[in-house]
Amino acid sequence: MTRQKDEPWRTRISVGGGACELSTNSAALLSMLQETIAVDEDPRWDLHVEVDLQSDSALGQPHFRGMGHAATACFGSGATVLFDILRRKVTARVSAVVAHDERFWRQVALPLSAGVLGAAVGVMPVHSACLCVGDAGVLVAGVSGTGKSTLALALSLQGMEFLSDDWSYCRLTRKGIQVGATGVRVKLLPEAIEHFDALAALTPGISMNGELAFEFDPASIFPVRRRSGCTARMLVFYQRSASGPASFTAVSSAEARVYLEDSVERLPEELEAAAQLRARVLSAVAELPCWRFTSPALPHQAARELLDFVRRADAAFEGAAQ
Amino acid sequence: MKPDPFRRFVALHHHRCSGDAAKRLTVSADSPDLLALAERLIAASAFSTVGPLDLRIATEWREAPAQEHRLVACGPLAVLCWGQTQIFFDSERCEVMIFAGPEIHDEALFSEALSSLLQATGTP
Repeated sequence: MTRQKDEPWRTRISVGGGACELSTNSAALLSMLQETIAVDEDPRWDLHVEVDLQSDSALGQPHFRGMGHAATACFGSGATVLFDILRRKVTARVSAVVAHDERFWRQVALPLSAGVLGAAVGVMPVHSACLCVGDAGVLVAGVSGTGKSTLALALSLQGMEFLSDDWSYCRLTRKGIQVGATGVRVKLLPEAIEHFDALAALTPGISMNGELAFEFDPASIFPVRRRSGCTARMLVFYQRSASGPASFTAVSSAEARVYLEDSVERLPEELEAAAQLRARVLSAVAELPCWRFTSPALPHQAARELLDFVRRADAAFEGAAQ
Repeated sequence: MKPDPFRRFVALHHHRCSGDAAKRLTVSADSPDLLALAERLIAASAFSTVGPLDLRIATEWREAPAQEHRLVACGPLAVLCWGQTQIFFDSERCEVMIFAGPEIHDEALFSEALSSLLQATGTP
């Protein structure tokens, strides 16, 4: 945490595995978001937060708009966030109340910023859960409503480490595709209580998209280990079937790429460089060993089926590497 | 089809250029009416001296919540949120992007809004 006279407070934080230079007029906000581990990487994007110390406005429902390289997220009178995708800068004007709302920053503002700027900074949000065995990450994709989050939690309870349940942030490095998390909470619909008794201790609330849902840190409710990063080793498309045995079928990289590109925002023409960078990352993700996992089983059984497959595939991978 | 409230980018299909090279105004809009309105409003505002200017304007959807008047600047880029209207201005790229709510028809306030954007981005 540093500060020049008459300048804003500054620090470097990691969001989804990418470094962000945070500046603000609020020492309290900086202290709240300060990383316990120093981020050495050069910043990929800048976030400036201007706190209106006189305002006690609360957050309202989010509203997003964008044209060209500019976008905004408005949360009523409590917060307005302006994204300059071309210059990789974000400015937020927030009330004093919102400045102290750690949940807003960790669950909404930082992941949102990483998502909007992702293509420009080379840290690509991929619509998939991510679970790990050691450093080896398995991206679990599927259309909304398939049950990715439920399966991700069930896999974590089988011993895989939990990285994310909905969006995983991928970037290319010399080590391969590094996957990062933003620490967003798991979101499960109320009916998930049928599969996870511990949810009975929680009260569902209205989530950002208006759904009634449980939102929680899995490690605080369940015996789950969280992980902040890993190397992607496999991509799995999860589909629930009405009946029949569980099956794993190979998916071509071309088909995987179509899915990945369909799940991301169209970029305007002035962001051509960002579009090319995104295409490189998505191509690399699509080149991972990729499987379609189809199962009629309930989440815990489906998790056992998938974990068994991952272990066998991983053993084969290790064998081939030796 | 109901627009997705999370969709951030829109396509504009109507275009027109006017003025000489130094003060050229290029307007792109999602309807001919909005194109004509935008041209007229810009000509009557402080932006008439900024050029060449690229203006893109789209109709805001009715579902948009009304916002309090709020101006946020991020270097050369600034946004003014005002009712259901949002106006972006990029002073380096000489670009104006507008989501036009009903407030756009109040010419005096619109002109004032554009002046505040020029000021926020330090545009002479």
